[in-house]
Amino acid sequence: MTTPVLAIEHLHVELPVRAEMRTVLHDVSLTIGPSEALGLVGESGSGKSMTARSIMRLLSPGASTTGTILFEGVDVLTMHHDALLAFRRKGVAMIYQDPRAHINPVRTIGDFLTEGILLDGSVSTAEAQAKVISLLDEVGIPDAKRRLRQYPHQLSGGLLQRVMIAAALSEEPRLLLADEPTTALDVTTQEEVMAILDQLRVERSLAMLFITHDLDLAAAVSDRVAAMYAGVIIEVGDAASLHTDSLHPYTVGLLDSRPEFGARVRARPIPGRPILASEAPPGCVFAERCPYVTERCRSERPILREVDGRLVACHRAEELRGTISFAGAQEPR
Amino acid sequence: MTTPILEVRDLRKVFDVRREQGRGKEELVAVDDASFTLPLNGSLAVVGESGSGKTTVARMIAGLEQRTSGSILVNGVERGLARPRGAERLRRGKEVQMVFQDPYSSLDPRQTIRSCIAEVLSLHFELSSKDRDERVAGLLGDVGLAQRHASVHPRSLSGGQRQRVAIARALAAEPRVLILDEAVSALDVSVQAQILNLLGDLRQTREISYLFISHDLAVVQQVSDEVVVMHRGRIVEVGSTDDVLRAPADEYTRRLIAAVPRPGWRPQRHARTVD
Repeated sequence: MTTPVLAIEHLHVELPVRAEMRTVLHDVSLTIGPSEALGLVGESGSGKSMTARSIMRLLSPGASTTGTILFEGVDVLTMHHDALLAFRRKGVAMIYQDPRAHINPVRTIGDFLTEGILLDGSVSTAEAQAKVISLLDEVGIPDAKRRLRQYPHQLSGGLLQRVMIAAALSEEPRLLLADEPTTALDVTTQEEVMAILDQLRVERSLAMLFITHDLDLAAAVSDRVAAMYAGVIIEVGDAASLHTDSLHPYTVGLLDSRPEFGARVRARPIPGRPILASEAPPGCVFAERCPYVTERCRSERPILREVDGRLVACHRAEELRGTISFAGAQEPR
Repeated sequence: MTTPILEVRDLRKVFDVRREQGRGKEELVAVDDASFTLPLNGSLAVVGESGSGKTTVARMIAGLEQRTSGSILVNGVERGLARPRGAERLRRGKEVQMVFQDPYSSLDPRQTIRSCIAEVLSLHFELSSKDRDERVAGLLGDVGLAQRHASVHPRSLSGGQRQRVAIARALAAEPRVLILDEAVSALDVSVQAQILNLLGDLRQTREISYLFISHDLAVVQQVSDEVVVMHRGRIVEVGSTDDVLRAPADEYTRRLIAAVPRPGWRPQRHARTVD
């Protein structure tokens, strides 16, 4: 078997919040194979971004982390200074939701893009410029020479996000972490940016962790989709069968919550509100909102196990298969 | 024919903006001669992307923005261009209310939920404090909140609960028209569905019309009977929501619909467009 690009095993993260430690991730395990795209979906506070930040080792000081994060077989969590720098520069690249917050507003696009390439000292300024111009062309930005002289505020959100994609690809990383890269964009711009990202990723056989709250978007550009709730991975399965074969009541509930495009039917929402990882009960994290909850669910946390070729953390997965519905669930007060 | 509850004719808004390079100002046409009608008890959605002018339309109708020209008729009566004062302001408040996108910034953090809703009631109605408390309780029930929520502050409520409070506060004035400006966009998917169902139910039980401002076509399909599609300040298409979404006539509407992720959808690169 080939070594996965990324293998997270039993990752548990706590962050200090006012004098006490709060859990943000409970026992997260995930793998991403070479050139595979894994979608990571969930609502706010579910731990999607925390997972990405853990991989980059960008958690706030005082965070306590256990488990392993293997990048091409090497544990990121125990990397020393030089190895960590090399991993962040060459191994992995990240694209964020808000590009404006991650680019220096007083430096030109050209400075921003060539900075990393020039850092080695092995490339001349002219070579770096040429490389950057061809990258901008690949992300669909014509007139690259003029763009290089411009400042971030002169570019629209969609263009700036393409610049970020170009920057992420400039060091030829093996793993791309994309954290809600199109959430702040208009829907037509989102389509354009996603198409570019998808095409470049496939051409370069890049592995990707694609974080989003949009299940349909995740399914469209990923090979597999993992769903998170309250800091726990509750299901992982093929993206192509996400809509038809999902097993966990939460995944099914999320799919049913979204108004279906092309048909006007009353939504069947999941009752209640999403909880934080730090509020998770000892049993199943979804127990409080689940119409199929049993005593066992409340006392014993289900582990992620294989059912019908998918991974699911639900005690009743086999028994509920294909029958889950929130139609009769009490709407919340 | 019955008078529509809201009608706008040739509505126009021009902003003076600083020139990007050089000195002086130039005109930016945010809304370019928009006309549409909202029937009594109807639900009309204005959809578009950022910069389409949809929020500016909503703000002009709500009286938060002065129009440059054109007319706004509420229940057949034209609204003057002058800023309203005193009694006229109150009267308008009973006609049109608005719910905003972000329930974290639209509620006063120092006010309890009871006082937030009671304040609107006292402005618009002569009520004894007992009657007022009963109305608050009734409104909380209508939006699916529990009575215990009356005495808490916004910080102890979730985003979905806060948006329910914002809806209850808007309903307190008993407006004829409720403007919902991206009112479910900031909510998590599972909570968004709850609020959409709530809005559907409220329209069944009271005489209220919705003007729904949104960028989200799946949401629009769920809550509106008619839709107006805006692009760069202009209305490009108007029609029944079902017809427009099923068989869009305008090129831009088609592009907008094609970009919505759904099962089996793949993102496509279009001809090079620089935004």
